[in-house]
Amino acid sequence: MVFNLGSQAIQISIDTTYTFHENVKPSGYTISKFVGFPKIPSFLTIHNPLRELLPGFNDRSGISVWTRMGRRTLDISKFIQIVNDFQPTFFQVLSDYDVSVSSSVKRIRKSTSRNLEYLNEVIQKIDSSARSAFGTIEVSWFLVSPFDAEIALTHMLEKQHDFNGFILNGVKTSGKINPINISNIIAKLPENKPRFTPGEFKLWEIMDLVRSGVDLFDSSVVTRVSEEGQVFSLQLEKLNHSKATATPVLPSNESIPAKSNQINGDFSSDNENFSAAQLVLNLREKQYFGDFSPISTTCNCYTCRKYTRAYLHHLLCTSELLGPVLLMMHNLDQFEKFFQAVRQRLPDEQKFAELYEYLKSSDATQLPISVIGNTSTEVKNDDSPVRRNAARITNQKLSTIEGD
Amino acid sequence: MGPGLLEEARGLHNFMNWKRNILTDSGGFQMVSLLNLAEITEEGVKFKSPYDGSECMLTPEESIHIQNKIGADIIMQLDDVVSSTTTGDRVVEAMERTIRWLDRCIAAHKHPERQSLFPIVQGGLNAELRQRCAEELIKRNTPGFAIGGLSGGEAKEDFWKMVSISTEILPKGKPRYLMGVGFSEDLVVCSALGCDMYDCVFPTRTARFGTALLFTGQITLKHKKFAQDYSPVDETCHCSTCTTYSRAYIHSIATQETVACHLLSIHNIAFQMRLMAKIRDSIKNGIFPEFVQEFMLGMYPTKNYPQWSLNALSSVGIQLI
Repeated sequence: MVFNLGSQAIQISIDTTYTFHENVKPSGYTISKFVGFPKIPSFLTIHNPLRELLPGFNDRSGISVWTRMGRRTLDISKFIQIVNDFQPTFFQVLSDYDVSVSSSVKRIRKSTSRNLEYLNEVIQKIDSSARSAFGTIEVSWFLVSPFDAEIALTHMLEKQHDFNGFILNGVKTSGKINPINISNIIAKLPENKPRFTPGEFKLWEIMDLVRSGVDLFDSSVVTRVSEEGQVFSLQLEKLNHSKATATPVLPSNESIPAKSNQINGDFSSDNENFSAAQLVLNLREKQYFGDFSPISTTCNCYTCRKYTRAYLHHLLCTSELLGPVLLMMHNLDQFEKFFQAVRQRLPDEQKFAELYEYLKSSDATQLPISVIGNTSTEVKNDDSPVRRNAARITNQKLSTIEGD
Repeated sequence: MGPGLLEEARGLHNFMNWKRNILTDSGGFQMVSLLNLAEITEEGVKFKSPYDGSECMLTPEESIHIQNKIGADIIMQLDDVVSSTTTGDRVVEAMERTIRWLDRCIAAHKHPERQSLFPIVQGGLNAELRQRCAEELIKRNTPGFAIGGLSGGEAKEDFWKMVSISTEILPKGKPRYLMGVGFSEDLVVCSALGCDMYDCVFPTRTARFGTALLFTGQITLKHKKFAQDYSPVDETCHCSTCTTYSRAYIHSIATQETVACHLLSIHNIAFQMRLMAKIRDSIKNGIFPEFVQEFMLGMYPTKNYPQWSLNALSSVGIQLI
């Protein structure tokens, strides 16, 4: 393989694979093996996280998924069949997602009661020794009817020994973070079960969520960024550089003119300018037409070792299939490096805040300030959320998710 | 802007980081494919942009200069191309002009020491015209030759005869490049007729539509019958697609997910390379006729060989079993 999947799992969603499961079963393959990654853990979710879901399509018979063939109703028995056919390593329990800040209380109650019903069915009918179920909590329950939300949560927690993780759905609606204190919800959840927030978040928003206690994220933002012809150029190696000890990464780019391959190992002159750095570049822009440097001089991914911004610009402008492929490879690599940096910095609040500020301050298209609990940039004292979460996460819970 | 950028990049090999050979065409084919937008005169071809009406003139000199900047290892002359179904005076005119344009291309070529310029034999489906054209081109002492103006919509029986005439006349010690070919069977038969090099969009185009190439023909993986076929696309193939994925998986994504285009393109190109390797190896080992027999039997297990193939192969002494 040209890139290393590292500590990642592959996410498969039922909407895009709706027609598959009948064709996987006779082979006896897991879904991982069927899609060509036999050794990589798989996480089966209901929907593709980048898909905007339409309201009003769930009812007693089941929830809606939008497949290639159009909208289909997914009921609990079909869901269980799909899970048994795909044999995913982890999966999201069927969940009624059709709630938002503007839902009626009645709609909220339908959602909570169905989720509990689905959870009970799954616990009874799916053998949990082989795979891990994640129960879904809808953030909007708490926004509309905290009373019903608390009841639902209590019931879920009664069953907590029968499932393995929590999905917090609906942290964002229409691209905006909901005004709810995620930390407060998470505080009620057991410490030893991972928490996953699906969907597209900016990198600093991910760090806010990490502060609040979230462990798992998907790569939606990477897909989105790549689709727009954009690339991350986080230069984390420079940020992490300690003058005393670091050996600079000197990848060699096999591509063109020698002058653009001059990798200057001395980062000292750049130390002052981190916050001004442009961390996301749009390679469709004309300025890259004759730019013979790699996306990032400190990145060692396949794309940066072999190709230049000018060539990628050309591929994007001529709609060549290779363009998005190369962008995704680079962006996934950057994303993985970002998570390594987050994990490394978690025990040290100052370092964590340094990365957070670095990412947030260069975000040119900042949304209105997200209000996630009290996760501002304040560095608190000993019992700050960051430190508590650091202790919990570094107690190797994540490694059970990462797989070997 | 493009050629200037490539000049700055010191050639296409560097720009796209491809260390192997590159061959560029002259832009001449668009005279046929974009006939409505092209005005052909002795000076060159004037193309009109369908987007903004602007015009650009492609002369033999301009074509060669652009190809010089691109820096491909093999470059093509600008020829006056007509569709293979055209007949009459236009065909004669095109053939004669191709010769005059060749001389202009040779004169304009800046790097004959590192870029091989190939002339293109034209003459439509007229044996006499092809012969005259080939004889003239040979006088220019180029490193190789292309055979053009075929692989359009003409009948296969006419096609192979024109190929055969060209390979008869063209010098045996220089490569013959048959443009626009093609299907597996065509590659084998034309190799028997004496061609050495080919180009075709078919393998990748058909891949994008979900079809895989095998030594037994083609399979359209979108078809329901592959839904639960867990064998590789091609049991005998070692490409990354065949060693990682099953027919069932490709069936489930063909024409739906972009990655299917990549996976089948990889296989089809690997297939093409295997096919050409088998042709080369069997020639080197003196068993080419046996290879052809085996190959054709693989494609036509019931021996319902197409007549044109039988005729073409028979003309060079190969009988099928």
